[in-house]
Amino acid sequence: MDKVICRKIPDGDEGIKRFLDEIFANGWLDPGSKQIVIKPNLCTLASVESGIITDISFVRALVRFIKSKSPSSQIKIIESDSFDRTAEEVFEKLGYCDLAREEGVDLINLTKMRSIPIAISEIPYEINLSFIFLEDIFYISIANLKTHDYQKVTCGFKNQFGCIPDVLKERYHPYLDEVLYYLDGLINPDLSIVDGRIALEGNGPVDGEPIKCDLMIAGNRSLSVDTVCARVAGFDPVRVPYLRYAYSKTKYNHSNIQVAGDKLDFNFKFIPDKLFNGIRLKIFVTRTSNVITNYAKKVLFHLYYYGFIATARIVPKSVMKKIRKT
Amino acid sequence: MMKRIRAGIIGCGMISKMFHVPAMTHIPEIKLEAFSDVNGEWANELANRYSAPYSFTDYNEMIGKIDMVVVATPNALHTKISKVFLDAGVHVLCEKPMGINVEECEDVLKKETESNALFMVGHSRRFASNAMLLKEFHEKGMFGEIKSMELVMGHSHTQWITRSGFSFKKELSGGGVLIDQGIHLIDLLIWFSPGQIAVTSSVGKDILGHGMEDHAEIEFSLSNGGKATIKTSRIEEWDNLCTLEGTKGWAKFHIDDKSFLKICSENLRGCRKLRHLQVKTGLNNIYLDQIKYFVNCINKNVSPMTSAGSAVKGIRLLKECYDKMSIIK
Repeated sequence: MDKVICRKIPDGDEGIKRFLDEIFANGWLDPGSKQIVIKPNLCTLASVESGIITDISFVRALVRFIKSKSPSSQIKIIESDSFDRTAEEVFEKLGYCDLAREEGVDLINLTKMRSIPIAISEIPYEINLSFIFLEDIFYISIANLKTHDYQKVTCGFKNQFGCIPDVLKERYHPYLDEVLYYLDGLINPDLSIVDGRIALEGNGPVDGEPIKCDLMIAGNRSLSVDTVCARVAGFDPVRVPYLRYAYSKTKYNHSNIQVAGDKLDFNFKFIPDKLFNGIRLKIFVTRTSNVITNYAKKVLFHLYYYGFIATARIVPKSVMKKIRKT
Repeated sequence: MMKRIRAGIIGCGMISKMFHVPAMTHIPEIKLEAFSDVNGEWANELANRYSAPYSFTDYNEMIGKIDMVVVATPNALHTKISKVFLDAGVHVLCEKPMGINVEECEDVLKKETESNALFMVGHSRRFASNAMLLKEFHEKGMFGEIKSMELVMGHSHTQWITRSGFSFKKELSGGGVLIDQGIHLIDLLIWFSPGQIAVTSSVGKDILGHGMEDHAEIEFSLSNGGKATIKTSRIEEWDNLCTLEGTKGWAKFHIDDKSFLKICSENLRGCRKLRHLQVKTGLNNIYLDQIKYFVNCINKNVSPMTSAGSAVKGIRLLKECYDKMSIIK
């Protein structure tokens, strides 16, 4: 049975210290000699009060906590470029350059690192995976608890989306369920923390409204942490598209999670059902049209280049059977 | 101003025309200076096409006019020509195999150590993007100690017809499919498993009746107790999927045609949840990357990875394969 800690933290630094102690006592923060990689959510340039990005004070507290337990540990904070900003810009403007100087950590722009393309059969594009994830690391994800217009809720899984080094990540959006599942598999966080002290409700993950929840959630399996987050935010996890996909792939029993700590239930405001369904319909149409276009391209090329008989071979057997019958 | 390397080609057959020369035209440091072939028309044809000032029927006339040469003649001539140019201080990129017998190859090795010039054998399959990445992962210890390797290469002889037809003349080729295609596999085996390798069984099939093997299956034992198999054919087109298994993981890769690398390792965090990773490596021009690498070695004056020393090991192993080979008709 997976265990997740869910704590109400109304008293600032003291509460964070207690929360980190509890994570440590559970044995989830034991990197040994591995280098530690921290991925905060820095998806845009915004203030901490907006609830959109990770609170830098928590990252600092985590770094200090790790250094207090293991002074020689090597810590790296990672982020990648996106179409409207570079990781360096984000690090500079959100205060991470000062943090790196003061606490002795390295800042890494994944877009500038070497990566390898991983082919996934369910997705038409490869997922570029940075070489850092091929090394022996201890990976900590620090996400924010937010609503998401495509997925209802976004926490640990979606934080990994920022690990894709591509500048134009938007191409993956119609395949977000699959991409988030496989990214989580490829990166496989050792510790997943979700900061919900100031969460985001409404039209997330960027245009929503902040809501003060004073809660922190953590676990060593991102799927259980995200399931608890969805419940806390008032969503049925089975109706969250990426969680439903992950459950189906892993045969995960989402009702069998031990939640240690406070029983917290919020009911986050979300976009109207009609709008959410419209967005999902748009995704479905995009995916279907991509499949049809790609298949038609392949068939037409074969027909022109190799002729009819060779082309017939790439038509699925089920389709050929129907053609023969008619 | 960049100093250009004056390059010459000996042997203007298919491999030069299709791969070596087009690749060399993409490298700004190289100036194509001379072509040589016993068939003067072939040499002239390439010299005219690539605006090279010289074309010869006798390769000795190239000496003094070039700094680097690609030897792409029939196999039996490789060592003789390489020695002439190493003596003259010309860098040599010799097509595979290095030669057809061990003694001549050892002579080249001796010449290489005496000469200031570099010598490299064109074991081009090492430059395939998936093979390079696999080697990098292997060196990082991702698969542990290699316990088993299966290398496969089957290409029909009708897909690659040499201009001189030397591959079916034993005195020129030195053997059948094993020396032609199998040498790539032997080289990859040595590259991935550099310890002692011994032949445990060797079977060849003479299907076309030229007195040479057209199909070969060789089994090897590795110094760590592991096993390796090489299968090669010039009769059939195979799906050339190769496998490497180590103590910590495995890898599968295509030797050509398709470029991907399937990997599984207990060291890889991605393999703990997903069964394996399929890396899409992309088909690269291995001849271009090979010549780029050789030019880089010349500029930095460093010994290439497929120098005479490394290639001789392959020829020794090849000889052992032939010595133990039982030919089935």
